[in-house]
Amino acid sequence: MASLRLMTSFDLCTGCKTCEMVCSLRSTGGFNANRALLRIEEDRQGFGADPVVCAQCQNPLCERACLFSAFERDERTGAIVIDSATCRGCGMCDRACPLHVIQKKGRKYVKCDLCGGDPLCVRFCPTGAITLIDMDTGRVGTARQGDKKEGTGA
Amino acid sequence: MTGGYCGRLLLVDMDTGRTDDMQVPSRAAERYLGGKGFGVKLLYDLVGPEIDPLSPDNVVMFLTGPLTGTAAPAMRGVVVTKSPLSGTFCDSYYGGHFAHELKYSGYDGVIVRGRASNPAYLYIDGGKVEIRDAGFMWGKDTYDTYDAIKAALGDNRVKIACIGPAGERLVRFACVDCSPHRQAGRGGAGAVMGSKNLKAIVVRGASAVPVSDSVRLMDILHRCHERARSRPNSHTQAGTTGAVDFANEMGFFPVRNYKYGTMENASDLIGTSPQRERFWLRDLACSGCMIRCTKHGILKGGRRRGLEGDTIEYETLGLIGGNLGLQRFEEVAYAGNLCDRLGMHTISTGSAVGFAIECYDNGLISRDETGGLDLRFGDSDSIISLIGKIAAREDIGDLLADGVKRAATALGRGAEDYAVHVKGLEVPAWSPRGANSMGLEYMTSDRGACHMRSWPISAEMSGESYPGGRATYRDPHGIGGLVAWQQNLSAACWSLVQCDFGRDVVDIEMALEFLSAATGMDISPHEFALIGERIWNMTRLYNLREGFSARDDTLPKRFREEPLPDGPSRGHRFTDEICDTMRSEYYRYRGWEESGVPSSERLAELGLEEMVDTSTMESTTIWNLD
Repeated sequence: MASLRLMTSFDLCTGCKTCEMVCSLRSTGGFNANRALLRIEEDRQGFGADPVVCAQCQNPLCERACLFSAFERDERTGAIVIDSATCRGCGMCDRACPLHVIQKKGRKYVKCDLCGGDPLCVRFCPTGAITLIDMDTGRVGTARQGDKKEGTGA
Repeated sequence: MTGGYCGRLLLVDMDTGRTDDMQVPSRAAERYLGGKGFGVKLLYDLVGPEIDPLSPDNVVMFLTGPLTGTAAPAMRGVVVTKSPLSGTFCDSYYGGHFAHELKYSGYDGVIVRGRASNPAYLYIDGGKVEIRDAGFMWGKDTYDTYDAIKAALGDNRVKIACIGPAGERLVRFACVDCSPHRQAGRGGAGAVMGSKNLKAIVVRGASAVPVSDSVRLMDILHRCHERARSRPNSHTQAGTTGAVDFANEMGFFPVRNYKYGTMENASDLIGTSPQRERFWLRDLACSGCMIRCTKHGILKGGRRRGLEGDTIEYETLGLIGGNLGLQRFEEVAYAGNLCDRLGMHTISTGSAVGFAIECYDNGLISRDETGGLDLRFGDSDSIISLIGKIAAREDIGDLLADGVKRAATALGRGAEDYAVHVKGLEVPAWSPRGANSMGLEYMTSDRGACHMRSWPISAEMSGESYPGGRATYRDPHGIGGLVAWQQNLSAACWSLVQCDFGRDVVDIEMALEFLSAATGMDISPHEFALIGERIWNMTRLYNLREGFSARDDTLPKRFREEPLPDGPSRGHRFTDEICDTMRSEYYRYRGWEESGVPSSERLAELGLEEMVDTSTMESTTIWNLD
C-alpha cells in the first residue's frame, strides 16, 4: 500500500489561492476558492497565509465518525477517500474533522483524494509551498522543485 | 455566454433597501468585455451631468471581468463612479481577493445607489443579500473595521471593501480599502460610499465561476507558470519600490510639491533597501498571482517600531516621502500607513499636504488656519498632524479634504500656482518634466492626472514604435500616437480586469487565450485594441457631456512655466508649443476633431454612433433595455 501525503510550507506560501482555485475546479467544475478541499488559513487583516491540507490521518476521524462506513483507504495512494455511492450526506465527517477540509457537494460530501496521486495543488503552486511526499521512502513525489524565494530574500 | 461571466449584476438601492438582479446582455460582453468597459457604459446610462457625485443619485459600482475569479493570474476588480474630486468618469482598481469573492457570490458586479438613513453595510452571502446596521464600526479605521466585521461574523474568510473615517467625512480623495488592504485609490470612490452611509460591502461566495473549456485553461495556466519561472521579475523582488532608483536618477521623483525632480540619496533613505532591511518579512500575492509583489512587514526600529502593514509602494514613497521632504523611511511608512487606516489615497494626500506647506511658506495660509501647526517640508510631526486634520476635516484640513484644485480656489491669492493637478486629480509620483509623453498622459487621461492609463516613459526613452508611428526621446512629435495606443490597450486590459504588473507575464496574446478558454469568445489582438479604443472614446464622450473640453487637456502651471531645476532634464518645461503639438497629434491619431470631440466617422467605425446620439449626448441604448 502506497503512503503519499501532502506536505505544506507556511514559509513558502504567498496566499495566492491558486491551490484553492485549481482544487475547486476539479471538485466543482468551476472556480471558487471557498469550495476547495484544502484552504489557505487567513488572519483578520489578511496578512497571514498558511496552507491547511487533509492529513490523510492514520486515525481518520472522518472515517470513524461516518454513520454509513463510506470511507476507505485508496491502495494506490494511501489517501482516505469517500465512496460517493455509499455516502448518504450525514455530515458527521465534516463535523469530526478539526481541519475543516471536507466539503459538501450537492447531497454528498467530498474530501481530498490526492487527485489519484498527481495533486493539482502541488502541480500549480507557484512557489512549491505544497509538495507530495512518499512516507515510505521519504522521496518527494511528483512535486516540482519550488522557486528560490526571491522577494524578501526569505 | 458559456463561461467566465456570472451573467448578472446586483443592483442595490440604499434609499429603500431594495435589491434587484440585472442581467448582463451578451452583447455588452462582446462590446465592452467587463470592468472598465461595463463601468463606462453603465455610468453613461445611469449618471448624467445633472447629478452631483456626492448625491444619492450617483452610483458606486464594484465590477469584475470575465477572468476575475478564475485561476488566470493577476485578474482583479474595479470601482467605478463619477468622481467627487475631478467630476470625471472614474475607475479605480484594486488587487487582493475581494473581486474574486464577488464573482463567487454569483455576481459580475454590484451597483449601489441611494443613501441609507443610518450607517449601513451590505452583506452578501451566497444567494442572500442584506443591508445591515454598521453603527458598531462607524468611525473605525480600516484595520479596526476588518477586526470588527470578522469578530461580529465569527468568520475570518469573508472579504471586505470598506471605507475609513476619511470616506465617512466625505474627503474627496477617500479610497476604498479591499481585502487585504488594497486600495481602490484615486478619485474619491470612498467619499461616494460615505455619502451613501455605506461603510462596507462584505462578501462570502458559495457558487463556482463556470468556464467554457477548463482543460485548455489549465494548459494555458501551466505554460504561464513556466514562463513566469523563466523570467526574473522586479516586482517579485521589490514590489514597486525599485522605481525610486530609476525615477530619481532620471529626475522624475516628485520633491517638495513637485518643484524638484531629484532627492539626494532617495533610494538609500526611503527606497528598497531600508524596507528590505528594516520592514519586510515575507511575500504575499493577490488571488491567482505568481508575481507576489506585496511584502508584509513589521517595522523594526525607532519610534514607529511594531507598525504592521505591507509594502510602502513607489507612489507613497514619492508623494509622502520626496514630495514632503521626509527622509526617514520609518516616518514615511507611518504616514503612509496612517493614510491607509484613515482611508485616504496617499497620492492626493501627499499632494495636498505639499500644496499646504508651500502655501504656508509663502504666507497664503496662517498658523491660525493650520490650528497652530508650523508646517515645514521634512517635519514629520506637523505633516502627520495635518494628515489627521484632513481626515477629520479640521482647520485647514477641511479645505484640503476637497483636493488641491478646490482648496486653491477657496484660498485665492495666487494659491493656484501651487496646486499641481489635472482636471482636479492630483499628479502622481512621475513628475513629468523630462518626458514629454508623461505630460501628455496627464493631459489626456480620462480621470485627470493619472500615470496608469499609459506609462509611456520607457517607450519614449527607447524610441519604441507603435502602429502608425514611432516615439523619439524628448521630441514632442510622435508622442500623441504612443500615448493613445497605450491608453487603448490599457482600457481593454482593464476590462478583463487585468493588473498592469500581471502583463509582465500574461501578455495580451496569452490574456486572450485565457479569455477564449474561459468564455468561448475568440478575440484577436486587433479587435482587442479596438474594444479598448471604443471604451476610451466612451469615457471621452462621458467627460464631454460633463462639460470638459480641449481646454481642460492641459498641465499645471508648475510644469508649463517653471523649468525643472535639477537632474538630467534640467531646464525642461512644457512650453505651449510642446503641449499643442502633442495634443494635436493625439487628437488626430484618435480621429478626434481639433476641439477634442471624437469625429462622427471614428465613432461610427467604433460602433459608438448607434450607442450615443451625439447631438444630445444621450445614450440611445440603455443597458437594461439593450
